[in-house]
Amino acid sequence: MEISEIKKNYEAWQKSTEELIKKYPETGNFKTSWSEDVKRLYTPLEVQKYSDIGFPGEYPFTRGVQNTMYRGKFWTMRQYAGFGTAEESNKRYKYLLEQGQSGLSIAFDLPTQIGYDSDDPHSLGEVGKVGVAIDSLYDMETLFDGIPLDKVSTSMTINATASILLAMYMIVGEKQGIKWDKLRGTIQNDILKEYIARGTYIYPPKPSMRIITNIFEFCSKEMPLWNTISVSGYHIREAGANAVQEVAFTIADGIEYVKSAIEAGLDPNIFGKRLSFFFAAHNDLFEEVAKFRAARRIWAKIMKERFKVTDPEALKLRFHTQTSGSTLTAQQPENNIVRVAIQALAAVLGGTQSLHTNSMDEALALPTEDSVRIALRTQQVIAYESGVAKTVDPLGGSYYVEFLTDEIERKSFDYINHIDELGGMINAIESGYVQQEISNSAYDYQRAIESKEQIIVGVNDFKMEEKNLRKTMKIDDEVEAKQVENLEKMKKNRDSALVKSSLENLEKVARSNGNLMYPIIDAVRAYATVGEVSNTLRKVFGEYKEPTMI
Amino acid sequence: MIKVLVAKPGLDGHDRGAKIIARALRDAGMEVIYTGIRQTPEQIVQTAIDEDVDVVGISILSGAHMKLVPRILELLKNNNSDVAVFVGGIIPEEDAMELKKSGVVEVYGPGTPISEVVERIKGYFEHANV
Amino acid sequence: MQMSESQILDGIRSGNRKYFAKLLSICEDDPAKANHLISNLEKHTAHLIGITGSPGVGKSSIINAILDKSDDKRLGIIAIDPSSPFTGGALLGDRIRMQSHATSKNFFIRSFASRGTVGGLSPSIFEACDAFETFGVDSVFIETVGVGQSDVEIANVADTVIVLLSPDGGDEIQMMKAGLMEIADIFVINKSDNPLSKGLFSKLKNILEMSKKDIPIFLTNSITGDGIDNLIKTLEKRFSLMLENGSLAEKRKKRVVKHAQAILRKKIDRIFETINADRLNIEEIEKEAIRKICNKL
Repeated sequence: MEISEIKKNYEAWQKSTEELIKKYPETGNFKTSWSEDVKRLYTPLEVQKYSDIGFPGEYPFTRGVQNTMYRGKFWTMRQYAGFGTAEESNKRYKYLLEQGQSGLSIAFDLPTQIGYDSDDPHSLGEVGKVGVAIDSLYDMETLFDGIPLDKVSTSMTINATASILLAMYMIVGEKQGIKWDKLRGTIQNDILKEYIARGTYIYPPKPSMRIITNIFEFCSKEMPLWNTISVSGYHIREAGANAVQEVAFTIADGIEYVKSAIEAGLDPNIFGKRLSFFFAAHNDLFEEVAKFRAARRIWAKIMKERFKVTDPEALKLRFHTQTSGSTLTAQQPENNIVRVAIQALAAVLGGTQSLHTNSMDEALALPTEDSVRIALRTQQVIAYESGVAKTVDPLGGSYYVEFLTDEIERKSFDYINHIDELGGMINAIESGYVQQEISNSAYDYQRAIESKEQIIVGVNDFKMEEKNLRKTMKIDDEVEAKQVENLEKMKKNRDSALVKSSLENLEKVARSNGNLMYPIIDAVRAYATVGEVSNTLRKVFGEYKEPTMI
Repeated sequence: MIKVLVAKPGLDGHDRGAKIIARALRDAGMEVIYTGIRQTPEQIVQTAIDEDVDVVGISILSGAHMKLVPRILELLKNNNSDVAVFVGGIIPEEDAMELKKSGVVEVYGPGTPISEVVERIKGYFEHANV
Repeated sequence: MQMSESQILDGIRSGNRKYFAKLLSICEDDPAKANHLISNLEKHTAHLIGITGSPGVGKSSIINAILDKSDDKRLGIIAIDPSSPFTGGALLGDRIRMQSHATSKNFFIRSFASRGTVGGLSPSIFEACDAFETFGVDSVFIETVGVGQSDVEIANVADTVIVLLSPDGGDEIQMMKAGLMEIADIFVINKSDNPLSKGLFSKLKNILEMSKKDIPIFLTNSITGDGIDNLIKTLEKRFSLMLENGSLAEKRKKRVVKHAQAILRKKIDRIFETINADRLNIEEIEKEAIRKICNKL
């Protein structure tokens, strides 16, 4: 059918529909997450060009980064876990591997993430709470005890102290007799989103970027299989950003990392292959699928056009997805299983490379073992029963999804161009621009919930009386005491002169232009603690203070 | 004029809830001071005293609430402060009950309508003024 | 918490922060009572330093950088943020940048909302400054709202006005032409690591030379602390010079007049709120206002 004919028919249909609406009015929230109206119907008129859709495995990768996608291999089912002591987490990892999980994903506690030892006053009440507590190589050895590091790929959610934890992982591997270049995994290492959304920064942006480029440089030489950064939109989204902001700010961060890698002398054709991304999957199924497709296309275009990358492998946006913790409700938590299933479906339909599904009780406390298992089973049901993995990009060609994909791309580029005008992402962050944009979206969303424009089942509608006391998992306060005790013991047994000299050397390198990875490895090998290494760098680099944006 | 301190103790950086509350209280006509993240109990209490606030709202999601909130209450008590303390975050029911027993006015979990928090704070002071 | 006047006075005399905090609240809620309390306390002349400049220029950061290097001083900080004209509410976020000093015994940071005042200050700014002078501080830093040109009121309040500029601002020069230039005693260009800072420095220097003004310009970096020592030294020198040559006394005399004017203005504003708006005749409204004012006075 000719476009002109479709247009004519469409207009006629609109007219008759409008007559109908007078009798049967439409009611509901017809808005995108960025507050634009969703049309009643999408037709070829909205997506006349289908311009950039292409084929899977081919530029601009709208339809996926591989030709066969899940027909060759399902996505990696990777559950983020870690709590309490290294010993307990080690048990949980072994359990998850037995249950058929294909990779490890390590959660660290906040003191470890922010470079404080368990006995630091800042750590009060935080030890082992949101992840495993690691003070020194000793804990890392316990964490991976009996897990052969050449057989697993390990993803570590670690940023400001990524260099230290990576160094520990390498030495654990070394002690198992595994060469560095055989280790596979990812460190998150995305400090920019920490300033924007997640908050586990230590130093100001400039020295932080130096540490990151030192890691890039080091790994390109010593750990070619290691993914040195996972540019993360997840936390940006969880902080309240809409789908466009999630894509735009994440990619703007990515641009900043590629720029600094190039400045450090790395070839983006090679470096680009070691970059990965991390996004959230929210409830709005089609919008989310479009988001993933748009992100792939934007990134491919930027790598090709801005950074002149020619190797197709370095143009591909590969990403991990986690379902959205902030959409889970404390009310009627069983409903969260359904939310997670929809979100996981969006991730799979959007072509994710790996997936974490949240547990139903996460809005209440740390997940129990049962709820973690259900979350993993949700992925297995999607993979083995739903049939959505039978063909590549099953929603490709949907008028609505293609329209949304174009729209998210267009709006993201508006943001990216504006950030360029502000002088790049670091400036945009330091001035508080990015944080303010997100905070505005978060507030608007909350108001939509308050006014019931946005219904949250079980929260502002369909409520019921609930029994209050549920079984949740709690971290014993003894964990903190035990961890502190172990730390003291460890300190007595190490060669303190060696620790001292290795930290002095680290400080010296920090004050020069040298690569920090080598002195950090030496310090960690001597059992210097996460806090000791971080404080040495704090002395040189200072600490970041957040802008006064609310 | 009700003056509120919105504070984030502990190390978690999830400030979405704290910022939303801060804005909503402002829109309800209150003067709101926000401390930023990673505040120690000592910083929070000294700020509450220096700013002479009526309310301290504590937002915490890391699970460290049973260590940090009692410490804040203790320091307030040491300073003879009668400021009203509210807590929001992921707080299991039994912990919430314990915190209320030790002097927290109200504990709010995820999904609480912001309007409920605002009304509760307003009501608390209307009541107190009678 | 209810406190009696004598409790407050005794508390402040013994250096108890809680009572001083209460006095500052009284400054905001009941300025007449505050003035009465202040008159019963011993005052110690402090250097009142205003810091103004557009939003995001780094006013709080520069104060924080000064605090970082002032362990041996007693300093007061008044940080002012705007109130919403619609709800009266306010978000006071300036503290965030200075929170690492929240527990310092020597520093006292207090946030104020502008509560309807134009000019980037708080309606109780005079009382608040006077109150700080009863608490034995060496200097008081007053951070204005920072809406740009209208922040000139600070010149009536402070002994020294620092106008803060940033190379990211873009239209800074434009803004200065519009009034801030008249009130500046010291210019500070923040973010000295930004390559554009030097350009701004020389542009500003040219403008000052052309208009034959001898105003010092400092380049600082509030993250590294570069240039802060110099700024602190200059502030100290300036203050002792002002004390010596009597210019401080002159300023303070004028300040008293401004303070009285501000009090009277507030009273008049309140009278206008009581006038029935049904009439359209301006002259009549005016007459009634004057009548009411005369009765009140």
